[in-house]
Amino acid sequence: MNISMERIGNRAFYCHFCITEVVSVRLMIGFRSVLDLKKGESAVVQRFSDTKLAASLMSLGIIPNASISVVRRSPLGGAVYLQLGMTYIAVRNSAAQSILVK
Amino acid sequence: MTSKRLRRVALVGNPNSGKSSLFNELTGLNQKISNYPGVTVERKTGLVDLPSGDQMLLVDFPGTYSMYPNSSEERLVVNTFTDPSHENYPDAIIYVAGAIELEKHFLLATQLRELGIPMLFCLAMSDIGERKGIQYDLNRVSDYLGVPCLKISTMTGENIDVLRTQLLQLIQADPLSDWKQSASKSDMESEAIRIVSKHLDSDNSYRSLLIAHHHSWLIHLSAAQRIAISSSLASMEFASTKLQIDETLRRFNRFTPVIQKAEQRDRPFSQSWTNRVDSIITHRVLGPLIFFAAMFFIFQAIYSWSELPTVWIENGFAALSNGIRDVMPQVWYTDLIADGIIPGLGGILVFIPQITILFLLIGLLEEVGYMSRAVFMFDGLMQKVGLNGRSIVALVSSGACAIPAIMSTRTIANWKERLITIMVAPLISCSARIPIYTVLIGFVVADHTVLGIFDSRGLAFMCLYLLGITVALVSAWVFKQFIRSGDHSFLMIELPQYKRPILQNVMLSLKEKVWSFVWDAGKIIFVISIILWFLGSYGPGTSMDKATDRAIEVSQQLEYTPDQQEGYVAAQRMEASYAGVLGKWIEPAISPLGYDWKMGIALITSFAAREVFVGTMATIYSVGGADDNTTLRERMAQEINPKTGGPRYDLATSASLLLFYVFAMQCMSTLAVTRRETNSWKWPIIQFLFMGALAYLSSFSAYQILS
Repeated sequence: MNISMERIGNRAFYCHFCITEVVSVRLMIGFRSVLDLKKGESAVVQRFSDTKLAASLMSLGIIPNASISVVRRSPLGGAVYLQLGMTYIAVRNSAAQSILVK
Repeated sequence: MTSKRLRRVALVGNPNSGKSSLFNELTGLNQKISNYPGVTVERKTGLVDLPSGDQMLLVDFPGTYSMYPNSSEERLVVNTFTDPSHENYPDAIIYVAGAIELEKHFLLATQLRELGIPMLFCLAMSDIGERKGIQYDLNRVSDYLGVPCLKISTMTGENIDVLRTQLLQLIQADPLSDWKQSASKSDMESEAIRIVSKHLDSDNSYRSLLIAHHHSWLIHLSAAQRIAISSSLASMEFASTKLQIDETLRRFNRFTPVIQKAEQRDRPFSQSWTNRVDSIITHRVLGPLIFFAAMFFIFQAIYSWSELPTVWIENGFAALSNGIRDVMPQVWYTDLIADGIIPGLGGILVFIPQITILFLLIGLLEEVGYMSRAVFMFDGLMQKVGLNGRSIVALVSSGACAIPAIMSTRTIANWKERLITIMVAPLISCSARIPIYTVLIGFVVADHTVLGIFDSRGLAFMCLYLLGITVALVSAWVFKQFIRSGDHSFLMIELPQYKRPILQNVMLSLKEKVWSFVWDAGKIIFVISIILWFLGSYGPGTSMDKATDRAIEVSQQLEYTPDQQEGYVAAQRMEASYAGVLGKWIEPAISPLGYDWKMGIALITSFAAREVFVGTMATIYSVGGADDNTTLRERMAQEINPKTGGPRYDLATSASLLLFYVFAMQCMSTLAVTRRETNSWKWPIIQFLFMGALAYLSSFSAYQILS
């Protein structure tokens, strides 16, 4: 009984973080990723499209409802320079793409 | 306190939290750095004097964001903190948090709080926070965490004395009681905790949960425990990644409102000057140019600033050697000391000026915060060849020595990227190649000025470096095609505020690195120089005596001067010695590269360390004063190739030798470190073979084309 309850809980969580579930694709529509932001544009973090990266991004303070902006892109491409509150963080494009914002 | 075991206090915090400065401030020169620590060995420790007159041991842990780690450095933290029987499991924790964006620092603090170890929460760099107009109500923070809080600054010295006093109480404190703010566990987490506690006798529920998440790699678990935990967790479908995210989010949701209440800002955040500086430093075009200009400056500085002290060291050791020969009786151990040990020691110490300058300048760049910008700029390029932006730090350090460079790869989270960085780092020309290049380059390019300002030999030097860099990147790309990895590859790096370098930090880290080099590389060079002396001084049977007699006979017939005779005898003895036998034994393998048996001896001995090459050549050509490059070069220039009648060190042979030393893995210490960091013999063997193959093929082609 406990375990099935837990599963329902997990499913809800899956949806929240939009992983591989078909349902979640629909939920992702309407969100842009940090990679889509223009230089200097600011947005609010909503969720992550890649669970593997989510825990690491969150430990740097990139959490839902945090305000984030793109400061510049790296000279040879590949990474973006982000501003999060008063700190600056560089992440690869792939990670930036997994941060969904509104 | 009368207990024998020193109380251990862990210094923990995020990267760039001001942790290292506090460590240096508290321990000063009382630091002990284990040389080249292996993956399982701890980092820096230092003794702290307490106001009571007692001492305690402060253990500096690598900067960490969370108990859900990405890199092997962060894993070390989790390993220690989940193992109460660990040697460095702390009696107390000093948690260092930066004054900017406190939320980010709170994640790890709340995780550690749940482990129940007595903790002191330090808000570091408070002066920087105040300059930005941020104040915290520390009573609220203290209430929330249930541990004492202290505002400190290593810049102004604020509260450092108070900290020492509080440490005294901290190390005598009992384990913390359960934290009232502890987030409730989900059913799945509770079940996992129950499973781990059953298998491990763990009395702390959060520790059990961490072990459940990380059981696959925690080294303190036995294989049986790992299998038992693993199968129990699998049967309940333990969803580790999701639970980690869930827990992280739960923590942020709980403490963010607390911090918002505790925080007071008297002005809105404005664009910092760090950002304005970065608009130039990391500019699309200017950024890489500035990087290369900085590197060019560093290498120029290494050559020009080190010239004088290098000469002093060389002359000092030559004088010492002669002095000892004068005062001691003429017996075998005098020879050993004067010809083996002292030149061997000199051979190590002669690199200190160059290594010091390089480490000083790189250390300064790191201390001000430049290196993370380089990581950001070059990640794109590095990714294309299978490396990580963080590899740039290792590749730059390799210019001094591959050993600290390989150790610095521990910050690279992805195993494949880290492995490739380790494999190619030794291709970057290190300082041990400098003496070889110096001796040989004159035989390849004549000394003249190019374009009115550049020294031709300086340019040739640069070409050798560029060759090493290019081949390192190409090899990385090749490795990328072969090494499989399921690990996620990513880069996340904080770009800290630029700050004025703290001299103490730079100097202490410089001392640590130079000492590591002297001790670890030195041990090997020292032993090798004794072996070399033996191989060169003794031969099979009576061959040495016969060679001596014959040489004296010949020199008397040819009416040599006493000096000439001495040189001739030494050369003949070398040929008859074990070293000569070895050199002749490998001659067939190296003659296609244009080398004779004398160079063969140098190739064998310099496998221990490249710099041994010059010393060996000096011995073989019986030049007094083993490190006197000029006379060695003159002597080498006179050497005639018996086959052609031309000079022995012609363009073809010299170019071939140079290329050999650009590529060949002629360094035992590097192989030993690769073995330790990859935890297998496979990778050092592959490294040795691929670099050896590169060296042999390029030297072979160069010799065959040029001769």
